[in-house]
Amino acid sequence: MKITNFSDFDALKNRIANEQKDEITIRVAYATCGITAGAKPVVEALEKELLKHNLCCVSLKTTGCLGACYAEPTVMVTKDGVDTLFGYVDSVKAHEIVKEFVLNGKEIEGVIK
Amino acid sequence: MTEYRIALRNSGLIDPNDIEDYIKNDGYSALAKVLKEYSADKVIEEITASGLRGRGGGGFPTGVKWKFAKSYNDEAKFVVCNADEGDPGAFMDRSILEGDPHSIIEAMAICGYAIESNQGLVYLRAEYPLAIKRLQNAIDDATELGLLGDNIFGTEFGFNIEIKIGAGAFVCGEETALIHSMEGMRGEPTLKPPFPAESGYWQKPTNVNNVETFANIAPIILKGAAWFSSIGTEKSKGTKVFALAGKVKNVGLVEVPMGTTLREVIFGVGGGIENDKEFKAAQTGGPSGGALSKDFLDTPIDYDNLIAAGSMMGSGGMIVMDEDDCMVGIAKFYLEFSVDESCGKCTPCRIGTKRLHEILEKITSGNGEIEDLERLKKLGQMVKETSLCGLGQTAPNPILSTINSFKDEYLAHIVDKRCPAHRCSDLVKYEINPDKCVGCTLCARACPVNAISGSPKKVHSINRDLCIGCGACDTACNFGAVFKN
Amino acid sequence: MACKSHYVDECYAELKQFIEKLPTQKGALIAVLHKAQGIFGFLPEEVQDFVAKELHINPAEVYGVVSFYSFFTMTPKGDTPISICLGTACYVKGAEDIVAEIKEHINLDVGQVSEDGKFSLDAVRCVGACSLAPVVLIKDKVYGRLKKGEIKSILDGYMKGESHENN
Ligand SMILES: Cc1cc2nc3c(=O)[nH]c(=O)nc-3n(C[C@H](O)[C@H](O)[C@H](O)COP(=O)(O)O)c2cc1C
Ligand code: SF4
Ligand code: SF4
Ligand code: FES
Repeated sequence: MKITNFSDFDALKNRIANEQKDEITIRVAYATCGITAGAKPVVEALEKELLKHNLCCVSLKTTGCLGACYAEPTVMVTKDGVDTLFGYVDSVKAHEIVKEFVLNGKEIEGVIK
Repeated sequence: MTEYRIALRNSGLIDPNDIEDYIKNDGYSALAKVLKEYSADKVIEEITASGLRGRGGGGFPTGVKWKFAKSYNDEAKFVVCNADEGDPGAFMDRSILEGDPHSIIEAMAICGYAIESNQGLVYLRAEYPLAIKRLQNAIDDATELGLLGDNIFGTEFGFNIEIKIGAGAFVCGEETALIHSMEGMRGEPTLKPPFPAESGYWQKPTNVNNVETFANIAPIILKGAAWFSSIGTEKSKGTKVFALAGKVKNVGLVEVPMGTTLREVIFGVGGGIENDKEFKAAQTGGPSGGALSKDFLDTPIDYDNLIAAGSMMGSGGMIVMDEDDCMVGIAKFYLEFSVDESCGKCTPCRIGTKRLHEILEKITSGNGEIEDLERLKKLGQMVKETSLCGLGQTAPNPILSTINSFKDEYLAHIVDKRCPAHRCSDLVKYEINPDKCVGCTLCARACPVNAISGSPKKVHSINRDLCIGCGACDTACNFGAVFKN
Repeated sequence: MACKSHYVDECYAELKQFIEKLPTQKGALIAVLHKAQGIFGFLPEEVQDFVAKELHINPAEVYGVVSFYSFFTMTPKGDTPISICLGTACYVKGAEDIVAEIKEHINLDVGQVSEDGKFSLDAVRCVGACSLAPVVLIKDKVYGRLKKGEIKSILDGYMKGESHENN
């Protein structure tokens, strides 16, 4: 698609705004510092675990830096509009985040904010 | 103190490789708004009224700069984004480019519309391969969607962006040097005027702004100048992003309103000093700035206060130092950087920084004389006043500010031949604590240069003049009686 | 990465093709040198002369640019190039101690290539991963938050030929 006038743009914005929203978003800070600290295996672990439980309403995305570089790799889970930020995540923690925190709604350790 | 995100509004929240995620968060709406509703002059008026000042270091009012650039008519004009981020220890611009590249593209297009330019260039340092990749990807996506290219939104206005990759020279962050480097030449600065606004890239009118400056543009357009100027202090509006690094607990990026104090940044958002050591200083402005001692912890941070404190805002690097850091050593570190990075074009900078570094070397190796302090000050002042570009004009700042705030440390090195932080290896000597020494003689036997005297069962002592600081006595002692001093 | 001697012709051909495909040769010198260093691994005199000829400029101009920028090198690097960050954040976090450890462990100082050509050590000024200071780059991999002694075991891994690709 190519935007050739203002109404094209408005239409695109409308379409995006009306897209079905996932109830839960998981974000992995995936910039130079995060990747250096080991964000790649964390993303892979999250993907694997999400697939395993066949979760439909969870979206996983890689983002830039959230600013909490000291605790990289970081993962932010947004559930019912509430953000929970996990720090020093590794693949074991990633599994736990999906299984316990996202799926079972249990409070788990590793929250930094 | 809470953080307030304008420049970092999307960073960490959106997927930088997904243009729709950016659009969902009001992306490209500011560009649409100016192309639909604003004249070029109105854009400039709005930016001027917002009070936004350049975030690349100098703090020049952005609207005024755009007005200059617009006033020169030419068939070709350029919008340049300075993403050289040369201050070692600063990473705000990298984070913005990696986390929210479209915000820079959109702002550059708005600037292009305002100053009547159709071509943008981003000068990005080669050390940031991921930023290069994400920005190029974003440029391609925007072009594909028609948000870059000819006739954007069907209007007369067209804009394209090209990335130019640097090759590792700090001086290329200076705008005239940057332009020469983009032309494929040695990045040597030239005398201003003419300013780039009049004669820049290929002698055409060129507007250069920093990454973070651009990152503030779209919110100002969408929320209005009055909103932006309500944040911050009288002369410094909006927020500033700092890259907190060094001996602080929560190393990372913080964006706070101008006027926030150093204490709030370091002890609030930053969580205080690592390992609960004592705060000694924070360096802002990198090699061009100065060290702020604890006396400045409660000074509100803005352009003018930092200059008054002997430092400068710089691009936003903030290196926190604790009791274990030697301030003479830090000054020497920065001078070494400036000696390395001086392009060599003008003598005061090329030779002057070298001489300054030599004097510091002399002091830290234990050969300093009291007259050296005066020499540093005099020569430093001279280099500042006579260098051609900002590099030389600011290179002595780390020395001058540390002499000012940490004179006792210089005196300890020069007079007592001691390094209070135990960092300068030539000055690290050992001593024996008489309360702990039991006279076992182990240390005396371990010392390779026979610097330790004392008879069995009597307190031993070390002759400072003979001690070479090898630490063998410390390792040998079973009673913890030996310590560095 | 570096151009092996029996492929030299192909390397020059690749560079020539890159230059021919440029939209304009005006101001392209630095981009061409980036490409050339990518192909050859370093920029010896012959390569600089070749670039000068292809871009129709004076070899002195090419040399002037190569020598100005720290990214360009006229000497080949080791098979496993090590770059240590000596930016401010890394400096205050003890980068100098790591230089000393490397020196002690594999007898290599900043700016040197080891005799067997295996390692080379260079200093860089900040790779933007300051939050993970002190930082060392080996090949294209970044190692952050290095603790005392850690660099030795990492280097041992490379000496044994471990790739470290997946961590
Ligand atoms: C030695 C030196 C290095 C500089 N490095 C940078 C830099 O890395 N990034 C930057 O944006 N500005 C840097 N500047 C400032 C630029 O010359 C210029 O003022 C700035 O890019 C203008 O943008 P602004 O008005 O948006 O701040 C440097 C200046 C000097 C003298
Ligand atoms: S002040 Fe230094 S960096 Fe600037 S032009 Fe002179 S020598 Fe070059
Ligand atoms: S530090 Fe070394 S030289 Fe100095 S007193 Fe101890 S053993 Fe002797
Ligand atoms: S100072 Fe070493 S990565 Fe920035």
